Amino acid sequence: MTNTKFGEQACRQVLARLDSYIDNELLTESSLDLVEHFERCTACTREAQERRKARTRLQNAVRGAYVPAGLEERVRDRLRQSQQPHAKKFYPMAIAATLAVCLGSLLTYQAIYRFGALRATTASQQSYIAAISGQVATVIRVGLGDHLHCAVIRQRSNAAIRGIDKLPAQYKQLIPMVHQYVPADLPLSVAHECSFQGRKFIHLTFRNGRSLLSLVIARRQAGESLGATSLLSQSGVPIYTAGVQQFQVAAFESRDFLVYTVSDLPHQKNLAVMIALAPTLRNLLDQMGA
Amino acid sequence: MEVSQAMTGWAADAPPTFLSTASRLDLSAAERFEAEAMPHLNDLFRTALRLTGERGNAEDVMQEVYLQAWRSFDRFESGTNCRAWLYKILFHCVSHHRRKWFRFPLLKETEEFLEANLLAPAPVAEHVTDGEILKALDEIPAEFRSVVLLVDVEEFAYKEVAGILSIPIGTVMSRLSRGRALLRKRLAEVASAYGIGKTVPKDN
Repeated sequence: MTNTKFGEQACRQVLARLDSYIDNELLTESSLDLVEHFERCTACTREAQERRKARTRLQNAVRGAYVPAGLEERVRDRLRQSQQPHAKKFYPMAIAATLAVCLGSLLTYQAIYRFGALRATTASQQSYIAAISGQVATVIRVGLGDHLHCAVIRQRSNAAIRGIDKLPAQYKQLIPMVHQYVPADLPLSVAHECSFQGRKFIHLTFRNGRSLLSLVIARRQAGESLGATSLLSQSGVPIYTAGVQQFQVAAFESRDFLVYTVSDLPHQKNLAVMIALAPTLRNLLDQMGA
Repeated sequence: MEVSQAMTGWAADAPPTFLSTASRLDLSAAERFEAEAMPHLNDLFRTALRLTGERGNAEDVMQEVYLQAWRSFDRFESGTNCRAWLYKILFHCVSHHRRKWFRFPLLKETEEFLEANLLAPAPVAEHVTDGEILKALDEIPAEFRSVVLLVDVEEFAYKEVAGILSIPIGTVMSRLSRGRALLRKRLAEVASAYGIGKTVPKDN
């Protein structure tokens, strides 16, 4: 930005970057320029709020669309009729997609580290969470977001968030049960109720010097579903997974809850915890929700 | 059931330990595909619905996206970004089907527009319904609608959108600004057509 920080010319420059600003795509210095401008200019502040509001309304409208109940099954039927993937065939489209995606992730990763998001302001923490969460399905984002917000950022900067006394009484029974399934070298560090983006979570954090694992439980909202019939269900509970950067997510749904394990463990190890945990935990949650 | 009873029940079941489960974790391609790709189905369907404008078409496209993803799944690496990969396939399928959508005369993406965009459009009125927002979105040209959906609703980063749509990042930014402005302009028209404060119940 030039030296013109206020006045009509400055507003024009701010408005030209406003979209990138609300999408957290500006570098820190540029964002700070805008924040400084907002402190003195109510018109631009209002416009930024309006654009954020418009984005939220649009999100709600699109996500509110009804998804036909049988779609997942119909897609699956079609897949069953088709051949197994054949290693020898050449799929230029898939290769191009994979390369593009890898490049995109790499660039995002670098951008975040240049940004120094973990150390910086609330705004940059939000942008760090957004940049990672944006890479997984909306329904997976719920658990990943709380892990990043609470276990990765908040607990790291605030040593007061420790212990298990903030866990609502009816969830205390989770602790001995969960202990059976989480690797013994990952001790329970925090068990509490927390909230992120207007939603409440039951959140258990296991941590040692090298690794961090969260068990995140959230009440299901209308229309929220992982899909109920995954093939990955040796233990009788369909489990879904996602990976983004160093974070691995495994998830299942019960009648009333969405349950996630999120960690920086290897993909298979994170998944193994969830597979071991899921049947017993689902039974328990079904009893509690009743 | 009492909690104490439930606890006894688990002990009797002799649950698998962490290690015994880990050693059994040799997943087939089908299991990995289910676990990684299926949670994206609802998000992809909602995007497909806005791109095709019709439920039947959106369903057909979804069948195709998952079939193509499954056939090339051996090239997808577990634990990497499955979501962007699926969206890239979605846009490929959609454009393959309906090339004409992408033959909208390209509106000029120049300073001329940026100038107009600087004049802040009217705010989105509270009484505009979700249905009206969707209608307004469906009316803006497909290339702008695509970028607005990917950034605003699906929350992809600009660079990821550039990868998914195979366009330069500068084009992502200009289409986004223009798409958002077009959307708000349409919504302002809707709001003024009903008059201030009048609620019109209508949903999609």
